[in-house]
Amino acid sequence: MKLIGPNGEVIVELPSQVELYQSPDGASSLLVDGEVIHPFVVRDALNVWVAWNGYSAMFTLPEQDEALAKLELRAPMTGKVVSISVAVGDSVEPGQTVATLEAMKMEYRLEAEVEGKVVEIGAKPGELVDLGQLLVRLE
Amino acid sequence: MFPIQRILVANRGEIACRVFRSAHEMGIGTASIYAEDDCQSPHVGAAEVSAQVADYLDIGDVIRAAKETKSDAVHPGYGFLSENPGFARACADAGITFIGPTAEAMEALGDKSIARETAKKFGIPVAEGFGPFSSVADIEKAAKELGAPLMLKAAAGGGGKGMKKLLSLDNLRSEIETSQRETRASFGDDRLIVERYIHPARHIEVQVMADGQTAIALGERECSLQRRHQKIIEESPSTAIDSAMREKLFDAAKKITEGVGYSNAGTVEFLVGPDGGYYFLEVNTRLQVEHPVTELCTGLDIVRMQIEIAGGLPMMSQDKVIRRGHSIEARLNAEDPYRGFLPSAGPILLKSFVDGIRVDTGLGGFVGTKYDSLIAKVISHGETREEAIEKLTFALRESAILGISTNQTFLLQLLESDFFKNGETYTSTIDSLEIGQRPVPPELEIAAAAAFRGPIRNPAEVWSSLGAWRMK
Repeated sequence: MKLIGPNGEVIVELPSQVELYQSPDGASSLLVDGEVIHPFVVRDALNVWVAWNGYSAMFTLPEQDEALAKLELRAPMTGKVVSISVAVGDSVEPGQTVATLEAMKMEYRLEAEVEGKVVEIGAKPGELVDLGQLLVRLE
Repeated sequence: MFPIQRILVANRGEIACRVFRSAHEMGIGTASIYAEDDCQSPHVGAAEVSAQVADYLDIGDVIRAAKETKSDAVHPGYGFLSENPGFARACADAGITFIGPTAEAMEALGDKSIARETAKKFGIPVAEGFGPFSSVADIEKAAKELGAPLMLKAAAGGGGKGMKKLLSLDNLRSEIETSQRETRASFGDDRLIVERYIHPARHIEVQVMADGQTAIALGERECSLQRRHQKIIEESPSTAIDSAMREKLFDAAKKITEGVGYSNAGTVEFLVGPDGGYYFLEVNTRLQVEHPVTELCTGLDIVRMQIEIAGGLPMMSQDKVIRRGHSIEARLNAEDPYRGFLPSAGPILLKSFVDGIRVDTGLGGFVGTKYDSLIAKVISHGETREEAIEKLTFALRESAILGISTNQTFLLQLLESDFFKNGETYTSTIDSLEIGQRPVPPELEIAAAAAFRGPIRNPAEVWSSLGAWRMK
């Protein structure tokens, strides 16, 4: 995976076994090939901030991946999923609502920016989701 | 009943929170002030009452806020109005106790050029120099007479504002102009003094407390590690002096403060040169950023002592001051050491500090560029210097601030450097470092890639799936 870090572009080869577990306060557990470390990870739609062992950095996806990023509809905030209005296999149009979230008694409609076919649904209605969590993946 | 009922802190950030803590412990009321754009900062809510002011530097408005909040005392913190005799006088005129020296003592010591003359009068060595001057022509003339290497310094205040080191006179005029612009912006006064640059030098300062007649020395702090003339790591005791030199510095510090009838907390700064000679630099007539280092070595609460002295209570005697162990402070700043220490601003997305160590902070949800870049001070204490280094290193490794660039990693690089471990720190050390790029270990990149790949899983699942994973 290509990322832009504080010193420019880097290619990150993800080891075969990598899992990231995160609590809402950012404290995380990263499992890499049988070992656990505890970084702090925060992400929004465009950036990921990581701190670990006194180091910290912000990472961004390279611009060429923006088209790809548009196919991943992620939670813009921490909140509750009110509804998912599409199912795997559905075709969606730009502007079409794919999910509705609620936080602080405000509803937020997540709309598709590009057309595509739904290949993955990341959350169920009623579920609490974190900022940046994948809700719908298009193809 | 204690003569002070409510203290208004004419400041913001960590130092306002620090002063409130001592006041709360003493059962004294508190009041905060805030500028319009700063109303959400933590110091505002850390006091019992608060009032908006047009600006932290607006003397008339701060006095009005003190009256409005029924405060009978004002603590100025550091920076802003803390070294402004006009403010001390305005408080006195309004019948408000100023927790600091009198305007007269401040004038005698706060102005660097007058302080130099005062020091000379008491036989304390000073670096060769001239000033103060306001006109560019006068400054230029003095600089040419003294010759390089030299320092340009603000006559009116400290904190490295307006301070310039000139190794040659090539860009003299533009350096003078830059220095005066910064000085004007910081202190509303553009007078500069021109002084010999002593190199390589140690910055060693003595914390004094005084009651108007007697001064006592609480200890020295070595603050040689500075970037852009701003200290970033401070420690006590200094690795550079022996007990004979320590006594000399303590005596000089007491002499100069007693000589002007000084009261309250003050810091007398010296440079110790390569020849082992010491030179008086300046007196900071206020609480210093790095005062916790002395508090941890002595077990004293300097803010409490300030309040007691201002309230007319007797000061402790010198023989009651006992120093023990070693303390080190690291200043976490919102800045990027890998980009020329450029200040960094933005929302704080995450902050996490470890327990079991002193952290003085006033960090809220946002860091702007309008105010100081200091976001937290982490201060360790150990029986030995090595123990203090280990504790501070651990605390910085375990802490995290996300959303802005900080100097956290750089502080760790300093703490783990050979020169720091060997106690070889000079005021020029950081400027002479090849800092290079921000170190980014592969763990960060993998965590970032994993987060982008998502979805991020809930930690509740971690224990059930841990199974064969082992903790590192």
